[in-house]
Amino acid sequence: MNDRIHTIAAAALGLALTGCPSPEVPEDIFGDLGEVAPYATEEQRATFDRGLDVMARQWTIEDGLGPHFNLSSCGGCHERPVPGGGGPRYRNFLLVHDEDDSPVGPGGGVQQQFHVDRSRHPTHEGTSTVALRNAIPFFGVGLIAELPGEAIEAHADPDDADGDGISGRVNRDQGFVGRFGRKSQTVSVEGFIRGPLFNHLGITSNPLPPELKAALPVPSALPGTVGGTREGLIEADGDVGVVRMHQAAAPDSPITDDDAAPDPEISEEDLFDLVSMSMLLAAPEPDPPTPESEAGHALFDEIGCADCHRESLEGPRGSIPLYSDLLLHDMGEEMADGVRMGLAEGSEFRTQPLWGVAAVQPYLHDGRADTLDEAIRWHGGEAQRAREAYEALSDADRALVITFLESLGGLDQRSPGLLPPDAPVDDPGTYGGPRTDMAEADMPRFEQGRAIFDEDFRLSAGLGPTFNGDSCRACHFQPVIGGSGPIDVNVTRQAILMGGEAVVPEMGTMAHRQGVHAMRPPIDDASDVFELRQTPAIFGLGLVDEIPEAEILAHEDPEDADGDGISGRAHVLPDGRVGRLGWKANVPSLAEFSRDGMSNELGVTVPDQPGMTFGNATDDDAIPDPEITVEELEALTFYMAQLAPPPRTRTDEALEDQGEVLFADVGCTGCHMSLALEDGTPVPLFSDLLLHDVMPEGAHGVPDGPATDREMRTAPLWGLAETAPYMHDGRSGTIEDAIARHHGEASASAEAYAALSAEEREALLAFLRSL
Amino acid sequence: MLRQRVLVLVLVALVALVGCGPDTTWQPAFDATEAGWLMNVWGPSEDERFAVGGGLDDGTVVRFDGETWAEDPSVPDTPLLNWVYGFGPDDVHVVGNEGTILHWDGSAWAARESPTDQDLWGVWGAAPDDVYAVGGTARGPDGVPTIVHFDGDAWRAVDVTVETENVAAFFKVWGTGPDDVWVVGDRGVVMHWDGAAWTEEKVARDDLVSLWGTGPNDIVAVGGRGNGIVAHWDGTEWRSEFAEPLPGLNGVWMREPGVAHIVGLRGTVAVFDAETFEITELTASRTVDGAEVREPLDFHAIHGVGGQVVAVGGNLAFPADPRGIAYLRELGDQE
Repeated sequence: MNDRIHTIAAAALGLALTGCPSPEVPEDIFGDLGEVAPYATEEQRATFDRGLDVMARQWTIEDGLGPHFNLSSCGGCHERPVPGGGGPRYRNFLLVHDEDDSPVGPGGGVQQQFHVDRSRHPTHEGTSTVALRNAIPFFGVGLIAELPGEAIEAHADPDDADGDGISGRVNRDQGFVGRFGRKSQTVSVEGFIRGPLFNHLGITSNPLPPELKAALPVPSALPGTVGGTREGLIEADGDVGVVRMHQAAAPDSPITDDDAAPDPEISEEDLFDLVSMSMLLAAPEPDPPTPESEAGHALFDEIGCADCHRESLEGPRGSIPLYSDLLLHDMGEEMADGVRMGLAEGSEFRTQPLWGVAAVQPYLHDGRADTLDEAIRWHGGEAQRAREAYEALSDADRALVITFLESLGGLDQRSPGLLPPDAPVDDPGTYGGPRTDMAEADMPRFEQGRAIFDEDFRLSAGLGPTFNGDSCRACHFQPVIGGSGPIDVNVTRQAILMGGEAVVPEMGTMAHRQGVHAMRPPIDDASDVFELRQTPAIFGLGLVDEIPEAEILAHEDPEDADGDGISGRAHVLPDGRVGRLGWKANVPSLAEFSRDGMSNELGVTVPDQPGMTFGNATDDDAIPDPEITVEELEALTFYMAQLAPPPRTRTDEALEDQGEVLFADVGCTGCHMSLALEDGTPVPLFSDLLLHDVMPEGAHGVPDGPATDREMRTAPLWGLAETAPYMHDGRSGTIEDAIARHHGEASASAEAYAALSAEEREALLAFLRSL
Repeated sequence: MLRQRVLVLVLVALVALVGCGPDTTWQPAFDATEAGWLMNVWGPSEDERFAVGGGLDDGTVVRFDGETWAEDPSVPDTPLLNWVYGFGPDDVHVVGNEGTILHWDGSAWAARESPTDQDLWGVWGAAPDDVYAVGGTARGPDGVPTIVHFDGDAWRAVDVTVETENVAAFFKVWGTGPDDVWVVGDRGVVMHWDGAAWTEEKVARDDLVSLWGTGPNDIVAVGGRGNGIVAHWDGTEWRSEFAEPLPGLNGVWMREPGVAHIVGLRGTVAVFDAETFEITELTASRTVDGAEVREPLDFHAIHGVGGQVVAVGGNLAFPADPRGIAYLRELGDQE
């Protein structure tokens, strides 16, 4: 580690030209991506751990999520390659401004995807400009927060007085020097957290009180509002003894909303832990220098990259090697997004810090670049000259530049998806592990399928032109890869209400969230019914795939011949196959499910396979079709088929057994039943895989083939405790709420459940949680 | 690009110390901590001033009688009071949230019937029977940019159409006469009344919060929420620039042509040269625990009379515990 530090320190010798002693790179700031900074105290380490929990928390509507939201957790965006990192492309979000360049909507110009009452959030009224944003990594932000404003201002050259063609400008807010965000528009870590908490999650907050501001790892209390300051971070300014701060305290206003949850929706303790955790994320530890990386470093300097990607800025701990001047630069028309923020114009962006850049793909403000090479080739405006110099290098020299960039930390944590490199396979029979009956020899294929499931498809691999996720894992990851998805990865379906009946629009029912060409893919103009579809878990679907069609059909009772008020019917496809997967039971097999998911969720075209009808063979992106091979599809299907069913967890068998009896007594087993394989082996999925009308009276959903807009497949209940949220739209954060939302054919059961004693209800819930 | 020279006027303080002129350093006027927010101050003379404000649900008036500042207990129950303007010690108008309009006749306060329930942020008049108040409930989603007028008999709503989108409020009104009335507001919109019609112009990228002037060809507007904005009307056109590096600006007052005294967030006090667009930052500081610290709270308004100017404000972002600040300084000859 010392070698690395000394290398960086040596490179900072340029400062010696000014006659000042060269500041040293501090030894105690580096760590692996996502680790706590070595300088943290024991108390701060405890805060860091708590902050990670807050970051991972899945907020529910009952907690205050919304009413407008994109995300249900902070970790949803800041996940690559570890919590605190950047966002994969599928987490890109939209900024919307009006024709006067003012942000529109309740979230400071953020276009939310969801509204708790209206499903798909309409595009904010008055929107004229739409810009795409990729979530930014947080590594080392505490060190950036500590930087004196003067350390940033010192390199500004707004009028290009030195004539070098580079004219960095300072962005500001509330009188402080901006440093966070794609446009350096934010001046404090607390502000950079409270703002997005509301803009993306709809979670309201109060500003941290002065005593907690003062206790942050980078204190930010207003002088005069608390008794003390902290040495080195608040200093006397000039002869009059005025105290100024480096770390801004903004924003100061409470943030409120009008949902049912009382404000503030995050406690000050949780907010403190979250802000502290962010401030304590270690700076990415650079790799030991090699001849190649040193040669690349020299080229990086030579072609002018270092003019903006300044190696270090001077902070109170020493020289901080972030490779950014944190200033605004005009990046040219190709990069311009038309969004003004603070003093930043539409073509201006902050120089992105490069530490840890190896592991936080995709790159640039909108995630348009899959690779560092692509990112460099998008540079324009003030960076045009450096880009052209890079392009003029030989292939070998360009590779050296990339090698240098990849040496700035995080390379050994880089993953094609989110699974860490060499991640072990979970034990057989556990969540994420294979079925106990899988042969050991099949493990390589299982791992291959898992890798495909986890891999973020790049634009160059065929992602899009419209998509919901860029990988299977993007939606299926709770509690582990292959699982369910939180409410914030819900898929939106659309329909048109005509004569009291919901009909499928000509463009189909899918309303994609992301687009390569259109930032917010268009929906049918006439669509007025939007239905959210929560991501179900994959666990055990191999067994479901093996259930004979006759077993499913045996439980049909479309005319309610037995008079029990339940009239399930199978989703029979036009070709006679019986559907069994998906909220509408519209998919007949796991192999078709792979094709359907690849096409409809990722926009990846699929090859012909005998007997298969799902998926799109072509699309209108520039990538040759098909965009995935048969062999890859088969490996993907194999992986999913071999995922173990959810393991049952018994904690109080007597109570759970009592609950199981009650579960049957109140009529739940009328639909939530076990099925059997051909040989009679039971499959305890607790679903008849049939369609039922369980919607409230007058409600309309989105139809799918023979499944009417009001019909849903009985949701399997195995793994229930680990696969929240519930119901087709994911709006139920608890099992109790999900039961209460059963209507139609399930009304009698829901009412019977409500009529149970509290003890009986708890027993029934204990049974469900044990599944 | 605007070139601004931002200075801390140490020399001014030194001059004052040697007794060569008025003390032009900002000093606390009184301990306003318990006064609630002080949103504006106005007075007919150095010995009679009205500071208005309070909390969101509790409007207050603090009066200066030449010796002491004290809350006036006779003020009717009102929501927050935002602005004050008058024509003498016995004709003072105060406006506030939820359409509140009060009048002081020299002996008592009276609540006037208001034609609006929108928050009123500013009041000014060309004459006692020609007074405008402006506002809009910008705190919520239902704000409507509002102008009301007093003709000596009653307050009536003024029918005005705003073309700029998403304008929820006007914030201040000022003019030079009955045929030259200016209104500033949300999203940098400026309205002008020429005696016959209202015209509209979008002058700035962000909200314009306040304005003042010395004549029809010399009007300064200030605003900006995150970054300060200064704008000047020279009789022909508006020029608007960011007041970099100042934060958002809330108040402006002028006595000498081209010289605008401006205040804003985080203790910002400065002098703006409307001709050169140069800004000279001053310092308002107070003693905390034995140390002199720059005022950290927000200034909301500034007003001068005679040879003194007073700036007021408070912890404007903390409605649960509103606290005020009030500073005063002597004016130099050319200010």
